[in-house]
Amino acid sequence: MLSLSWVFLWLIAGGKIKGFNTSDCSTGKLLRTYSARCGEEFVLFCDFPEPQKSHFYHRSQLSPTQSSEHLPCSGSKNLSDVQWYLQPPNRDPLVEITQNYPHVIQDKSTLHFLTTEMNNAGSYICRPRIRSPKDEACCVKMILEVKPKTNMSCGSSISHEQLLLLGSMGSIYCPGLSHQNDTQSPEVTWYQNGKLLSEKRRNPIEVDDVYDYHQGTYVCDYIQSDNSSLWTVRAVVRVKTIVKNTNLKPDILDPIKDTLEVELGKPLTLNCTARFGFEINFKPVIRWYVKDSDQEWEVPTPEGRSVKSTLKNEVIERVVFLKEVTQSDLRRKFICFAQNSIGNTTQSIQLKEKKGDEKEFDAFISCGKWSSLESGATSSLSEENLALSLFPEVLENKYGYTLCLLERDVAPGGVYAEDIVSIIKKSRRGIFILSPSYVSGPSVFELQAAVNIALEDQTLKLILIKFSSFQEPESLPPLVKKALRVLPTVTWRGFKSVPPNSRFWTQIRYHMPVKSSKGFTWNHLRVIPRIFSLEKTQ
Amino acid sequence: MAAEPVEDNCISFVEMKFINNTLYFVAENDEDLESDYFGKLEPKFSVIRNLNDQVLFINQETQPIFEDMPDSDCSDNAPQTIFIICMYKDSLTRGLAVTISVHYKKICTLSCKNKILSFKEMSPPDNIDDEGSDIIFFQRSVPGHDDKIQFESSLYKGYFLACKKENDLFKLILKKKDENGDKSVMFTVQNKK
Repeated sequence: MLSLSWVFLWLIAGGKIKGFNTSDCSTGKLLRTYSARCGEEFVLFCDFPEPQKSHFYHRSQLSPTQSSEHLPCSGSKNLSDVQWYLQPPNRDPLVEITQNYPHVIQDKSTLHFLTTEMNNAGSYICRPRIRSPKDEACCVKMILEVKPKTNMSCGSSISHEQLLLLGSMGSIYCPGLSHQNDTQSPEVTWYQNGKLLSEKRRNPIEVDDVYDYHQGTYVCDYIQSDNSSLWTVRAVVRVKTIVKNTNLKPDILDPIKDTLEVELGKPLTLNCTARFGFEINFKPVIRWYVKDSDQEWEVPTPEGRSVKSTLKNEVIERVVFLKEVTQSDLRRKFICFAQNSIGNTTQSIQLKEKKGDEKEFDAFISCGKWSSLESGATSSLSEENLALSLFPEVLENKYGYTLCLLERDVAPGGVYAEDIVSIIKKSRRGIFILSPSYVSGPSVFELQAAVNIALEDQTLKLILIKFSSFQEPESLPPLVKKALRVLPTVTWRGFKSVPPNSRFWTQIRYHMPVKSSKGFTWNHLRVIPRIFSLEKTQ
Repeated sequence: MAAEPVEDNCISFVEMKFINNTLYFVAENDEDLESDYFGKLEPKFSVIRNLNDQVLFINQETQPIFEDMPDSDCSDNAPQTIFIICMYKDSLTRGLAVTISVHYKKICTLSCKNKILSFKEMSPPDNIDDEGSDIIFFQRSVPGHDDKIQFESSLYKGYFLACKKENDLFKLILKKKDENGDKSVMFTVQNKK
């Protein structure tokens, strides 16, 4: 009967939070922390009193009022999932500390305060989230007092962020305890990342040889007595392990070369990447400057950003973007400047226009000497007509290329062989109209000369036109025979091929150089060099 | 007579551009693709010690043991104390990939298969076609202690070569590194020659 009425009352009294009688909680500690309002962290551990000897407890931490008989916590291991509550100092109701509670994060059973404010004071209660019937009354209460440190400004006393130099000796100091000699300093309980450091009981912790595992969040507790009670004073220290400051200037990893080939009128991105050694007070500088004759000024560009950060180095990148490369940009020097506390480094870049190949002709046309006896039906176009009329009409007049025809463009009186070599060298392409009369006639010398020149000059490319079928004479030089097998070939199909928009001309134009900027070749199509390679053996 | 394509020169097309009534294809640039593998580079001949300066050597039963040894004994006991550390080129960047071998009677290479260390009778191969191997370890220096080395298994992440005392012997084992500070996984490597 009685129990029923208890439940009834409890349900009426319940508000948003399922209240429970916090006065039954074993009072774990009276905690005090000093806050200089410098954004210090704080932690609360949920230490359930254990029936037997504890792994979590240091003997001095047990509150004197605690009696060992009333230990409602069963000591089972599942108590890591706990729920925290705050009983504010005034008569306000119990507050459950959930994920949204400002400036407080719960990490397993520990409550982390990201900053310590006066309004954090109060009674904190923790109890397991999943409770077996015997754990129902298991809870711990701790009273937190936040005392202001008014006579100290931020950073004047021992810091809550301390650095240890890897490979050296170091010490971790408990903030709030000034440097006292051993006889006067109280016994200190240290925790690292929530685990009790049972061997460390003094202030400061001396580390003989600093390793990266010494890094972490340390908590130091010591006892302070009031007239009436014993308070545990707690502070939190973030310890970071670092390497020593670099003694080197920064290193510019990119750009390396002094010049860069660019295209006028196109956009350009200049990237400067510099590597900086570690420094505690790291103030890296990375900038782009422009130097134009005597004047030098900084280029306004988005801030540098860190692209790689390791223990010893940081790599920072800063980019200059030019919407359009202008003539005046070609006269200027772009200088990347990187600086740290040791010194500075620079790397300058001169922009250069991508040069054309200084060749006079887009293509040189070679054909067999016409003989009316060998041409087929007179109604079809002869190879000489193809070379001397149709090619100029289509490629020069319609498509704007510059051709070289021996018969048309070379002044008489010179040495034939020398003339041929000279005009081949001045041409970007060589076009050879192959037929029986070509391969067995004198003109095949032109093909041979062109093949030899093309082996030296990578920019000269040769195109074969299969005007009519022929048999390769045995007497042809081996190099020419190989050329006939590997060079690109376009087949002439008589009248079908005549119109300028025929497949024949489309294929020819595919092999012709790009006319736009001074013979700068179009390098999108890597297909050509890979498939048709003169040097590869079959 | 027509030009023939060169052998094994297949091209994948990744992009098309339509310009002036003609469709052009852009070939794939696959020059940077590599399959996952380890490729062997040069070997180093080294003496390996734990942080107590005990020297690693291979005993009569081909077991790796640590023992106190003055330098003169150390050279006298060669080749049992000389370990051949072969470096491998890694297709991913995870640290210096190495195999550890020793030439005592036969060439044997350290393997951590099933997390148990043993010296297998084999030479370090020229290539290993896999991301992880029982004979490949990542050799890295301890942060801030450039002279101290750790060897992590490429097959079992988080497991390192370590020195463990078993009865009266100090043995080389594979263990999961203790996060709170573990010096048993640290060694010094002294290169000979």
